[in-house]
Amino acid sequence: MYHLITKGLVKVWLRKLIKQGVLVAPTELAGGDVVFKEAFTPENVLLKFKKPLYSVKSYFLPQEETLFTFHDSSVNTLEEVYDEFPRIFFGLRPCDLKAITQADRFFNEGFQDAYYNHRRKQTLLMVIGCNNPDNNCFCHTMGIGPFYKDGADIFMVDLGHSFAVTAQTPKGTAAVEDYSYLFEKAAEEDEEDIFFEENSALSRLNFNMPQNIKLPDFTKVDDGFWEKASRRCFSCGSCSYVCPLCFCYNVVDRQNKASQGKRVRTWDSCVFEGFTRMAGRHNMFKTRQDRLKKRFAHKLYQYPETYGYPGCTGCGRCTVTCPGNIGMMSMIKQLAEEVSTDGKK
Amino acid sequence: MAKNELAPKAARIMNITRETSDTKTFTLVFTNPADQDAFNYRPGQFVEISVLGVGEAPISITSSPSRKGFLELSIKRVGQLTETIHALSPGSIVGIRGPYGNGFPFEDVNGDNILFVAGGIGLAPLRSLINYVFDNRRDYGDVKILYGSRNSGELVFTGELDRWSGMPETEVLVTVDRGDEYWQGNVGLVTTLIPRIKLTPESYSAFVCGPPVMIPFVIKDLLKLGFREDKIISTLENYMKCGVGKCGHCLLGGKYICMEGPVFKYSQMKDLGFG
Repeated sequence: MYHLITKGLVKVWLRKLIKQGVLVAPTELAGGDVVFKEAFTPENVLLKFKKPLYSVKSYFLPQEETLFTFHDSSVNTLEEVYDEFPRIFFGLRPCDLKAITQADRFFNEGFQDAYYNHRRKQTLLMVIGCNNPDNNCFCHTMGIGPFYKDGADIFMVDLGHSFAVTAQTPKGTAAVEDYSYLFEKAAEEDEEDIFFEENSALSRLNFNMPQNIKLPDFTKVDDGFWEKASRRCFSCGSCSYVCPLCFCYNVVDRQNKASQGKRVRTWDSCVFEGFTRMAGRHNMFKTRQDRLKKRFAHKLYQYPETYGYPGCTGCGRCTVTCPGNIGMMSMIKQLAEEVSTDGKK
Repeated sequence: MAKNELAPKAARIMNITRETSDTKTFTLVFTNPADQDAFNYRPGQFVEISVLGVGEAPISITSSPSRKGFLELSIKRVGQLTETIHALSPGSIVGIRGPYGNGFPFEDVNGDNILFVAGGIGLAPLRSLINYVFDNRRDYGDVKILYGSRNSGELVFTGELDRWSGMPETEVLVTVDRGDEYWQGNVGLVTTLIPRIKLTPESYSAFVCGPPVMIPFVIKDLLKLGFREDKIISTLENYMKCGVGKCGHCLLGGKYICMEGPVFKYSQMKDLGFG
């Protein structure tokens, strides 16, 4: 069930909610780029915005995160460091949402990551359906879609004059009901408008990539395909950094001259040569080709086996950032092409 | 203070045995007796050892869980962290977390004859299982141990190799890749020992541990002899950093080796794209 809030009142609502935590929302930088950023007042928060350059991954798995501190190398002085800031995320897109709910699974299945969970339990996720996917978007082929909302505390749809809002969790319900005077009930034609917006977004996405695109059997993709792709790979790692579903990290100890130290984890990337290099220089993924193949195999083939969906949300950020044009969208298209030309090459 | 699993626990170095010019075996005991009591492991599992400020590395446990109250790690000096550990003396405190990994499936091979093939420092994880087998001698059949290293100076656990060769129904063969004036034993790769043992492959399980270049050759020879693929058990020693299946460094064929491995049957290794 949807409620309506006029756009003029959204910032009034956010001003109320901001008392419960730090607001993280799409904000325009001086050069025109849009990023998710802490907003101390809702004044500069964008209600209509293009896709932020980066996902909100860094708020859940920071680029560098302290696990614990110590001094004089002594294990007995070890103190764990947790981030328990409550945060309100406004303006997430369905692709951002899916990445968070997948991180919930990843960081809790098999081993429960206390650092992730401390951050995550203090969040409110306010997701806005994606009326205007851009040219690099293909979430509809990755098992989600422009109005995917599973796991959002609050899901909203931009109807021009106002937002249709639905709360899906107790936290989300409280955030709406506590300020119910800001909302009115949605009418039947509003529901029709939502349906219309979703369909027009979907048709735009279908223009980017056909929804029923099929990947070939991975074992049948010959090494020549990866060799060709790897010639354009710089091993820069930017695809991993911008990917909302890349969670691999490195662990490093740092110590200053006063013998105060900390163990941190930092983002890492499977396309780096050192990622799998061991003592004695033994490396199972020595060439760029091996690493690229492993990266795409993990996201497109092994992820579905493990989780039932790909390790990609179709956000298209790797397409934007990759200097060699081997982002996920073009690779999926080329892989699909491999089937149709199979045997004819 | 409830420590999460990524924070290591303090362990004291009780004893250091020099095995070779670059390998030492460290005997460790957790400083908190409760940590020591709670530390239960299987042969083939590993720990993450820390020197805070320098870093952390995965090291397989070389002691057998059948001998309680302490933990032994054989560490080869190969990098910055292991260099630091080698410079420590008895009484020093290190950080330990674990145990991690699946360990050897010793229950599955109950009643089998057992062949161990080790190369270099690869004897360290096997030593845990070998001593476990000898401590539970009645559960297992004949034992054959083949061990090779680059030269005589790099042989580890030489005293124990002698002790094992004196055990009933046990054969131990040792070789070095390159002989020298002090060495009077076998010369050649460890694979040259395989034709020299007499065994009926169908009654045997084989455990293979060693440098990555060695393992495929040994497995190939064992298959040729008639070993079953699910009776050849080896380890995939990928780079393991977190030990809990999150950091991604050990990922192979969609599997986190630190969680689902490092011990695999050859039949499983093939599925992961090995060899």
